[in-house]
Formats: sequence, C-alpha cells, structure tokens
Amino acid sequence: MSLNKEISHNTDKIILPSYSNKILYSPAKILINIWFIIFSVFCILPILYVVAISFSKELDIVTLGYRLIPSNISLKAYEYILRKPTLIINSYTISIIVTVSGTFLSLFLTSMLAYAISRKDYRYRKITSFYIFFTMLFNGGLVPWYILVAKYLHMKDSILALILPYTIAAWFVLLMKGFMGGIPDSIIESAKIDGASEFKAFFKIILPISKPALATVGLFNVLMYWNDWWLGMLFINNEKLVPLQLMLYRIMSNIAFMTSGVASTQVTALNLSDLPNESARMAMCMLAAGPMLFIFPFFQKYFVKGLTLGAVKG
Amino acid sequence: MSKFRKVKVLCSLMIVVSMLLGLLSGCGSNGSTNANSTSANTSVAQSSEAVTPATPAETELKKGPVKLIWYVDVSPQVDKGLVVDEVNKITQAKINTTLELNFIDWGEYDQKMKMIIASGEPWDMCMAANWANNYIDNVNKGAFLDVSELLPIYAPTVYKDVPVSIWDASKRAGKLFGITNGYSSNSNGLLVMKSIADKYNFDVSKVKSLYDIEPLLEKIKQNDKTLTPLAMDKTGYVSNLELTLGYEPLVNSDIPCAIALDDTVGTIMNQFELPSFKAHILKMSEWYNKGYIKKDAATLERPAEEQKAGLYPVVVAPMYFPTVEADQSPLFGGAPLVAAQLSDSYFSTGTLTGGLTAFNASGTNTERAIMLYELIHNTKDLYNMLSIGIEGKHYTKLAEDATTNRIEIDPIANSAYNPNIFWEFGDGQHAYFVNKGTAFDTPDKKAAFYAAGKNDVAFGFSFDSTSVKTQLAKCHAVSDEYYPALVTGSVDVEKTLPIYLEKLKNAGGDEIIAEAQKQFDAWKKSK
Amino acid sequence: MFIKKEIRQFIRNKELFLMTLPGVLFLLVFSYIPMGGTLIAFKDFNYVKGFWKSDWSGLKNFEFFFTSEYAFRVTRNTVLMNAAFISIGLVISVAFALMLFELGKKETKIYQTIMFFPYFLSWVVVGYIGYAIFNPDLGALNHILAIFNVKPILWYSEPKYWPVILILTNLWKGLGYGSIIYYTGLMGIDSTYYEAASIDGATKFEQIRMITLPLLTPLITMLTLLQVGRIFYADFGLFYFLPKNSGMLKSTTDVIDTFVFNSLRSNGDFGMAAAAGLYQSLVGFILVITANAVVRKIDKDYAIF
Repeated sequence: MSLNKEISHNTDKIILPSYSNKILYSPAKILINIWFIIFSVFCILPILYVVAISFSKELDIVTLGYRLIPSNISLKAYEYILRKPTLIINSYTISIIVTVSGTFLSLFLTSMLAYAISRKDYRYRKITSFYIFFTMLFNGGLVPWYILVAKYLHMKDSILALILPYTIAAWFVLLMKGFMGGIPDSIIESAKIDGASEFKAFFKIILPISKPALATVGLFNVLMYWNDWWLGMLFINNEKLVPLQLMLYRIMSNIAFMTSGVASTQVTALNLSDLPNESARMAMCMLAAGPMLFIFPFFQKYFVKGLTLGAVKG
Repeated sequence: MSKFRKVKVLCSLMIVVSMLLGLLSGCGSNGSTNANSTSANTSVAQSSEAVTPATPAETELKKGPVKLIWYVDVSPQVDKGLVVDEVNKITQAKINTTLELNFIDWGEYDQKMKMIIASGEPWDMCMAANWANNYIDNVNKGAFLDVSELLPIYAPTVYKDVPVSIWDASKRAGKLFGITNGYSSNSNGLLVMKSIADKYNFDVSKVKSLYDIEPLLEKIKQNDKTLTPLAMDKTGYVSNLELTLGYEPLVNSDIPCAIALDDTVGTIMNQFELPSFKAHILKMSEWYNKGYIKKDAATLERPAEEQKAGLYPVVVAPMYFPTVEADQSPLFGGAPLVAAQLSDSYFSTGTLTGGLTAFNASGTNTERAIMLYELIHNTKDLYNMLSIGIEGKHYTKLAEDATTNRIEIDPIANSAYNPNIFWEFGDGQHAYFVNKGTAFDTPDKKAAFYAAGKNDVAFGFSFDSTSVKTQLAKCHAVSDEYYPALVTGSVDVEKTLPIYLEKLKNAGGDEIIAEAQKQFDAWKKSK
Repeated sequence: MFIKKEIRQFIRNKELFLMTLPGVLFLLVFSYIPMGGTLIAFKDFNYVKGFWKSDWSGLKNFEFFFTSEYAFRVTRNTVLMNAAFISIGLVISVAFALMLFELGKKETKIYQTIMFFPYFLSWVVVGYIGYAIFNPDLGALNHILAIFNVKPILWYSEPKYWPVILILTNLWKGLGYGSIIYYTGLMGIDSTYYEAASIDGATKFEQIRMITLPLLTPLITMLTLLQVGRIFYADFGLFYFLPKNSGMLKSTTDVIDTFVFNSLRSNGDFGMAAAAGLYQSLVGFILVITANAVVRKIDKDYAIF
C-alpha cells in the first residue's frame, strides 16, 4: 500500500525511462529496486539451500536439520555419487543425446511447418493451421497415447521414445509462425525472382534471418527435453536408457537406484559416512539441475527478443 | 486361441509318442498311469544330456533359436549385461535360447508390469505375486497362460519336485497359471542388529510380539541420534504382520476382504474393523509420535539402501525361518542379526502366490520358456549365475559340498551384481548356494520348517474379483489416500480410521466382501 | 474440371506442402490417432484380445469414476487451483512487468535473469527443493517455526496448507516467464502515447489505466483464454512431485491428471483410466470453445479462432 502511495505521490516527477534515461534514482525507482532485490533473493535462496545441503556433513544434517549455511563443509555426498559414476555418466549421456538430437529434429520440422503456414500464398495454410491448433484443444489422454507408443510403435525401451513424442508441439509451431509471419513478403519474393526453389529460399534466406526465433524455440526445446521425466517414467525400463531426471525421481523415494549394483558395503561398525543419504540426494539434484541454470544466461538475449516477436504477434 | 489349440494338439501327440517310446525302451513303468506322469518320467532329470529321441522338448528345440523376454522384480544391477552374456552361453548351448532379462526395481515393478501387460508388449515370462504384479488379477484378466498341461511335459523335474498338494492349491478352476517359486508357509518375524541388541543388553529371544521391542526402540531413540529406530515405509510392513493380528487378507493388504486365522465357520470380513488392527495402528501412531518412525514414512518406498548402511536397526521381517539371521544379513550390509519369531507358520493361497513365474497368454515361446525354467532348476551353474553372478567377479567360492550339491559363497564387497533375490529365478527351495558361514543343509532345514506350517482355512481358495471390479478400483483409490497414513501411524487413528471405514463402505467394500463370501461358500462346498 | 484445378493448385503448392508433411505426420501419429484411441474408454479392455477385439462395455468404465466421490473432488481441485494460478499469475505478472518497465535496461536484465532461474528447474528438482523446505524433521520451515516457538507441522500430512503452497510454488516458478511476456508486450507500445499523455499532465497511474492496460488487453486476453481453455488440464509435475504423491494430501492436491495416473497405477485398468481421461478431454474441449465464443461475442478481434 505504502509503495503505491509513494509511487503516485511522485509520479508527476517521473519521466518514463523508455524515452529518457536522464532521471536517475527517484524514490519510487529505489523502492521498485528494493522490491526486486528481495524477490530475486526469494528466487535464488531455495536453490542455494539445496546446494548448501549437498555440501553438508551428513551427521550435521541428521542432528541439526538442513541448514542454509553448513556448519561443516563436506564433499562426501559428491564423492559418494561419483564413486561408481557409471550410472550417472550414463544418464548424463542419455539426457544429452536426447536433448541435442531432439532439439535439432524438433527445430527443423517445426520451422518448416511454421514457415509454410506463415506464407499467405500457401493454399492449405488455413486448414493446416487449424489441424495444428486443434491438437491444443483436444487430446486423447494418457492411456491411448501410451498404448500407441508402447504397443503399436514399439518404442518401449528405445531412445526414440524419449524424443519423438515431443518433436512437434503445436504451441511451438504457432510461436514460430508468429515470428515468420513478420518476415516481409519482399524478401521471399526477391528469392523467388532469383529462381530459388522454396526449399532453397527457406534454407538460404529464411532460416538465417530467423535466428532469434530459432534460439527461443530451441531453448524451449532444450528445456523440455532436459527436464523431462515423464517419457522415461512411462517407457523406459532398461537401466542403460534412464535419463537424468528420471534417475533423480527414482532416488527421491529410494536412494538405492543411484548406487544399484554397488552392493553390500560391509558395515561392521555403524558408520554413517558410508551413506551420505540426505546430502547425496541433494547433490544429485544439483548435478541434474545445474546445466540448465548455466545455459540460460547465454541465451537470454535471443530468448527475450524471440519472445517479443513471437508472443506479441502470435 | 487357435494357436493355443494347436499347442494342445501338438502336446497330446508328443505325449503319445513319448509314451510309445517309453514302452519300447522298457522304462515306462506303469502303462496305465496318466499321460502326464509318464511323459514326466521319460524325460526326468539329465534333460541336458537326454538322448531319448523326439521328446516334445527336442521337437520344440528343432524350431530353432529363440529369444525370451523375462521380467523380474529386482533392483537394476550394473553388471547384469555381463551375467546375462554368460547365462546365454549356457542356455544357447543347451536349449538354443537366449535371454533378455529385465530387472525392474521394487516399487516400480507393479506399475510397469501393468503397463507392459495391458499394452500388449512382447514378453514371455514374468514374476507375479500377491504383492506385486498381482497374480490373481492377471489370471482373471486373461494375461497369463494356463500351463497345467505344458508343465509336466517341458519341466518334468520341476513338476516332480513340488508336492502335488501345492500344485492343486495353486490351481484356479483346475488350471495352473504359473510356477510357484517358493511354496513356503508364511510367518512373521523381527530382525534386530546384533550390535544394537548387545549395546543395550536387550534379549531379543524374549520378544514374542512386535510391541515387546518398545524398550529397545526407546533406547535407540535416546542414544543413537543418527538411527531411525524402526524401519517403515508406506506399506507399513503389514504384509505377514497380519498373521500376528490374526487374519489373512484375500485380495490385498489394503483391500477390505479377509478371513480370520482361527476361523472355523468361514466368515469373510473387513479386517480394518478388527480390534487387533486398530490396536496395532494405535501403537504405530504412538511410536510415530515418539519419533521411532520416520516422519515421512507414509510416502517412502522400501528403504533398502538405508537398511544396508545400517540406518535401521530394527526391521519387521516378512518371513521368519530358523536361519533368517544369516539369510538376511546381506540386506543389512553384512551386519550380524538376531531374530525373533512373531507368528506361527501358515500355508495360505497367498503363500503360494508369494512369488510365481508366469507366462504370457499371447506369447509364442511358452514351451521354450518352461524349458528354460526347467534348465535353471536342474543346472547348478546357471541358477547360481543368475542368483549371485560370476565367480571371482561377484562372489568367491569358499567350499563345495557334494551331498547337497551346493557351494558356500562370499559375495565380493561392492560388486556390481548382487540381486539377492535368487527365488525369482527359480524354485526357492532348491538354491545351489549358501552364504558364508551357513551350513550346507540350511535350505533343506528351511524347507522343512516351511513344510511344517498349518494350512489356513482359506488355503486353496482364491478370489475372482471380476464382478466387483468397479468397487475394487474405488477401494484402491480410497486406500491410496488413507492406508499408508494409518499403517505407518502418521495420523490420528481415532479421527482417521472411522473416516477410512466409512469411505470404504461408500466405495462398495461390503459388496467385495459379500462377493468373496459367496465364492468362498461355493468353494467350500465343492471341496 | 474441379479436380483438375485442385491438382494443378496442389502442384503449385507442392514444395510448401512437402515442408509441412513431416510435421503433419507427427501430429497425426502422436495426437490424432490417440484421439481415436479414446474409444478404449468404452471397452472392456482385455490383454489378450487387444484394442480392436476387446468387447464393448458401454459406459461401465465411467461408473468407477462417476459413482465415486473423486469425480467431484478432482474436478474441483483442478479447476479451482488452475483458476487461482491464472488470476493471481496474471495480476502479479502484469504488475511485475509494469514495475520492470520503470527500471533501466541493465537492472531489468539482471532481475529477469534471476527470476527466470526457477523456470529452468524441472518439477523433479522443485520437488526436492520442496522436500528440503517441508521435511518435518529436517526442513527449513519447521526450523523457522521453532524459532517462534510454534510446534512443528507435518507438512506432508496436512492438506489444508497445500493450496497455498501450490499457488506460491507455481508463482515462483512461472513469474519469470509470465512477466517477460507482458514486459515484451509493454515494449511494443508506441512511446509517443506516453509522451502525449505526460504533456497532458496525466499521472503515472492514469497512464497505466488509460494507455498501458488497454493496449495490453489483446495480449492478456489471448494468453488468459489459452489458459482458461486448459483449465481442465493440471500441471502433472507440480501436483505429483511437490506433494510427493502423498495420500494424506489428496483431498487438496489430487487433480484429474494425477488421478488418472494413480488409478492406472493402482488398478492397472486401462479402460477406467481412459474413461476419466476422456472426461477431461471432452469437458476441456467444451470449455475452450465456450471461452472463445464468449470472447468472440465481446470483441471479435481478441478471439483465437
């Protein structure tokens, strides 16, 4: 409330930054800054909390609970996970393969589809658009979809089951279409006058100027594939094909998954350090979440730009 | 269906042929015995080197190489591939068969098998039980193949080694839908880590009921801050603990439909209304509030790894038998244990369905799959390899005993293959190994202890739930919500139990009981 | 004649058609065929007989869902929680976007990046973070409560707290995205409007009311409509991982998606699960059509189709 008053009180003095950056720090601006700083802490703190737990000594956790600032720093959890890293490395490999190939395949097919339906002179534009859009309105639900993939497409326990079901998402196609619809007709026309085929025009001209849109949708794709546990949960039994998020989901209820095969440590005297139970889970959590958190800042420029173009005109 | 009839015709032909051959070669004993046992006699044992020409098994082998898909409820093992390669060398040589062995972890197995079976994916054999991948449900749904005629032909030794009474009790409507892996009677027990019992000078042998352990739990809670006194997960470890509460569930532990162990009339009832059940969960609730049980127990899967690391000094053991201490020690990371028997030993239909190997009703290689089972049953190296891995890599052979045909082994620490559930691969009464420090005849002693169990009132009866499918589904949904909380003591019993009972009633629990009663009465009459 | 013309037209468009073909086929397989597969809800699905040969069972599969109390409960939870997500999300996202818009480019970028972090976590990871906070023995929240001498709360068995927890978590995870969308919307507004307004002496709030919000309305309408259309579909990950699928929390956390999944898991009955799924699809479909029709009536330009 007081914040609102403050702003309204000062509004007549403020000139919008979008057309002038001369006015520096008005009280309202400071308040907004403080608000966002608090909120930023709120966004990051839980993540830091998990990091802190993963570096805590197991004994401290059990006696003191999870602490934001560990009283003793310990690398035991990471040592434990990486002691027999076969499964972890394997899961990483699977997740990387799925994410990279899935993203490229999806981007390729999505952009072609989006381009065609963004062309105002494409005869089947309307019907194709509706065909795509309708899948957002109605779907068959989990059961028939599961039976189809598992029984009729025989993709159970295959890496394809982790990629293909997500390849074309209507929302991404429409997002991309929103961008490509903004490409001036003259560009396409000029390519055609040069005698280029549609495919050539698409690859040589359209794709290069669509970089922001490709980066945006690409990032969404990366996010979708990297963070997916659902397809794995449904279709993967083979322990060699378990993606990272599924692995993480499994050790939530049973840490044995992580070390399965690393059997029977001969415990003679009770020794907790043999199983950094709580901290190892959180360490695994960080290993799974980390890559995405590092990737994003590099893509942010494109991301914001792409969203601007896509969402507003979408 | 027509394929199945073909198999039948083929089988009867085989039987006739083998009978004739048997007579000719002079070893067909009683010409008048039924076809099954005759054929069983002809191909008994030495199946590997059988020279008798054109047995059904041999005809089957002429079909060429076969790859079998087998699902078992075993924690994934890093070296499974290596072991299966070795296994395949043997099976390839002997029955021209290779194996695709799939390990699915506890807690996921049930769900995954439902999906696999329902979606019609290919599989040949799977582990079924009353606690996961429900045997009876699957039989009712037509998922498993009737092997009553194939079994004596393609697995004669297995057929002979299991008592006829057990086969009969396993049958449903005269048909056999799986091979029971462990026809043991059930009894409940308690396992305590010896180091803890010694530390607090607690005499486990005096424990007669689970509740007698309370003083020990209290001491652990006070002094060992890093330990959780009592192991608990969302099943509440109730399976078989039910025997101490005086009933036997007929469908599932969490579905209202049970019969009292001391019942003489044959009354099916709702076990959750029993005073003994209420008393039990009240106790659990008390322990929960005192901190003997983990606060999130109601959402936990079985904490195997924690148990291995020694975080749970006291564990309710679903099975008790004389050598349970040595037997279960590996599950505690090799720590010495002391055990107490909590209940008498009972045979129930449930015990027969404690673990079975079932075959796909729409599978194309059932004959070969049954032959594989027989081969494992008869082949020491093969059975041991599946159970404990490769010698020198996963275990060390300490000694060998000719009389019992067993080896004594010491699992190699941190090896990448240690499934520890040998009975899912074959007949649990006929293991070919014992753990370090265990007498060679232990499995036989165990078998004798099991065999001495009493038959409970409903032994041989199994409930066909098809007609109350909807009610069952609704009760499942109710139990999903309330049962884990109640059996782990996580909620106020006085408040929640009445709600649970009320909701089960609304979900049609009584109709399930009434239907079971009807079937039970009919079954009793027919006996 | 007509056919001939069509063929000629097709040949003219064949290159673009070929471009759409893979995508169209993907949708056919993964979206359209399962739509037909919903017929399984009317079948007594038998493993051996398979999809085609299983017997028809009429509405029997629907009996399980609709004669239980769950039909109402999961529908209520799904709709109410989603309604809360949409309305609260909208107000806060727009508010955040407006505030961000007041700041310089540099600050905006930093805040946006930070606010986006949660968006990049999977629900599994968020489930872990939740566990770290709500764990009754070890978690942060009970530690904080202890400081104020409040008795520890068993978060995973107290359903009454969960609507709030779920709303906050959803906000936390989605705000970065939501506010960026509206922020980009704001960037699209021609700055001359504001210049004119401030010359006329309009206060900041007047500007927001008179210029910003009206110009943002198409975007707000479109996005809200899209969300309302999906009001029958809950975010499975949020409702499954955060409450750890705890039975005791189901009275407030069980939504249609988790219900379908859990009933498939505990019964293994595809027909019954498909029946609940079909209910979701049909009502969801009707809702989005209705929502669109309403918007169309108010202002044709804002409708999606």
